[in-house]
Amino acid sequence: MMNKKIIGMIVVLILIVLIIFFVRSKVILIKPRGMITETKPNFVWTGDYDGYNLLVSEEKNFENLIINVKVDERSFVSDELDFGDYYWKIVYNKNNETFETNLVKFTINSFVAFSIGGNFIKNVGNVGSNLMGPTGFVVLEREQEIEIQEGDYRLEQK
Amino acid sequence: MKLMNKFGFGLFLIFVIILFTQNVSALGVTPARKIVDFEPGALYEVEFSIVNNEHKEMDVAVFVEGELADRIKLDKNYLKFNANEELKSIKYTFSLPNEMLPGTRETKILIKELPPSMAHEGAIVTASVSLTYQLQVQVPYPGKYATIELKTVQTGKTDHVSFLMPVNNFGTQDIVSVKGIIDIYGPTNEKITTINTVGGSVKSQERIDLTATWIGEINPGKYFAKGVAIYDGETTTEVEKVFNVGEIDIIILEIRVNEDFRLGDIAKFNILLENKWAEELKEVYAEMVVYTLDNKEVIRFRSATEPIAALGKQELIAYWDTAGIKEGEYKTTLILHYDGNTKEEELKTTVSLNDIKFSAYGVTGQVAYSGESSSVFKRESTWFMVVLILVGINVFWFVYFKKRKKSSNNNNLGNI
Repeated sequence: MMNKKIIGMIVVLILIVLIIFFVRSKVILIKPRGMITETKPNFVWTGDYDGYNLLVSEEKNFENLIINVKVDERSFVSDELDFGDYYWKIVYNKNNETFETNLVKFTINSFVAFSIGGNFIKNVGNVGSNLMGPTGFVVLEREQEIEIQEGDYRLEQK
Repeated sequence: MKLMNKFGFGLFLIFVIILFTQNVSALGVTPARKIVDFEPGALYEVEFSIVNNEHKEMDVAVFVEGELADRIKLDKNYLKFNANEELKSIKYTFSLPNEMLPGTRETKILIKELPPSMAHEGAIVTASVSLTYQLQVQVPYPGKYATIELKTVQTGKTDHVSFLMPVNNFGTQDIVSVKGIIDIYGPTNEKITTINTVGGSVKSQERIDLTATWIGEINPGKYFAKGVAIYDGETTTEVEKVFNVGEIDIIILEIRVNEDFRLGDIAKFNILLENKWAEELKEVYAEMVVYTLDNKEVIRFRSATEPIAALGKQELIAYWDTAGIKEGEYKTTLILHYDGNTKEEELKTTVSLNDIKFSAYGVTGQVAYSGESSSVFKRESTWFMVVLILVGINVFWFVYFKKRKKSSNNNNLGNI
């Protein structure tokens, strides 16, 4: 009776260890996915290998690459990317064989946004925008803040 | 005292008045633009989102103006946001007419926060801001008409930069031959080189990606490219692209302590740094945190802020009052702050009666990294520990049950 319990526990433990090793060895693409407004996306994945090749393209067939970089860690912060659709995947080596993950699609959307506090308007979006007001228009770059007067204004992607 | 109280209350009152008269407003739209290619009679259903980025209660009106205003049907013209609602979507449908003038034809969907029922009386500014969502229809130009974009491929390498020049033919005729020319400029706006893309052809309403590679020993830094494409005797509008090669990096070449240093005096450190980035770093300073070997912080001090020229060297001066400091081994974390970035170095520090040495420095003055390869080791050792703990638990259970079984057997024998 006791032996059965011990064997059961050993089996459970072995299963836990196997699951841990399986999760370790699997490369899973975490983010980015879907619609985002971050123009310098942080690519994050799992895995336990010595090095990875991060590939990013605007085409599903990865014909022309936008990012082709070797990374030792499991994340990479990109330089500024344009708005649009992208696909990404990870290529890695396991036992001298090359493997690649499935591809994941993400879309960088423009985000036009403002906040007004007192007499000041600030561009809190992810793109430079044209601010048209009663006296003409100015370009409001990202994070830029300017003083405005009374009247009707419009803000749109430049 | 009473006067002070009155003064304090007055300040508080002014603060409250300012707080309540601030006309705080905020709104966002994403995506802010939709571009479709003209297809006579085509039907579309599109969605965009309005963002309540300040998380406040508000009413928002949505209306359309422009060339296709009569053809656009919004699923709602009015939205009510609660403070906990961050995002609401709007769908719209439209059909394109059979004919449109060539070029980029724009229709605007305006998003406007409605004034609250209780108006902000006495508000500082009564400005109202609408957001514009742009629907653009690209209608082919008669003949040949190309536009280009310019992109760089991020590789992290400094021996080459790959360029991508997507060419869109918005004309009604095919382009037989197209080729791109890219001028590359350095951080100080000096022209470095000109490269040509591969050539190609592109059909009407289609796109081709032309590629080019700039090869050479390129200093890490920020660069600037201007590109045009020449197609069947025409030239496109010039486009520009700012791009980075490598990463911003700064290295410590040397740390010297004043020669006449005596323990108990104020030590003067000359920290010699080299900027490996091909652009000036405007605000650089070093912060030193000294710890005992059992990780108790002894002191924290920083240097003055200095700029470092592109690929240049610069000494930073920092001071440490060593009064009360004992001779012996310490650990120092040297944190370099440069233009919003930081880089840390761990240094073994030996304080003697007339010197302070940082033993992690080699003959060349290059910092010996201790943390670079340790991340892999750390990760491996974590997993090793997990497995070891699991095995330990296993052995413990095994021994425990074995003993229990033995004692229960003994008890049974005793009963007999």
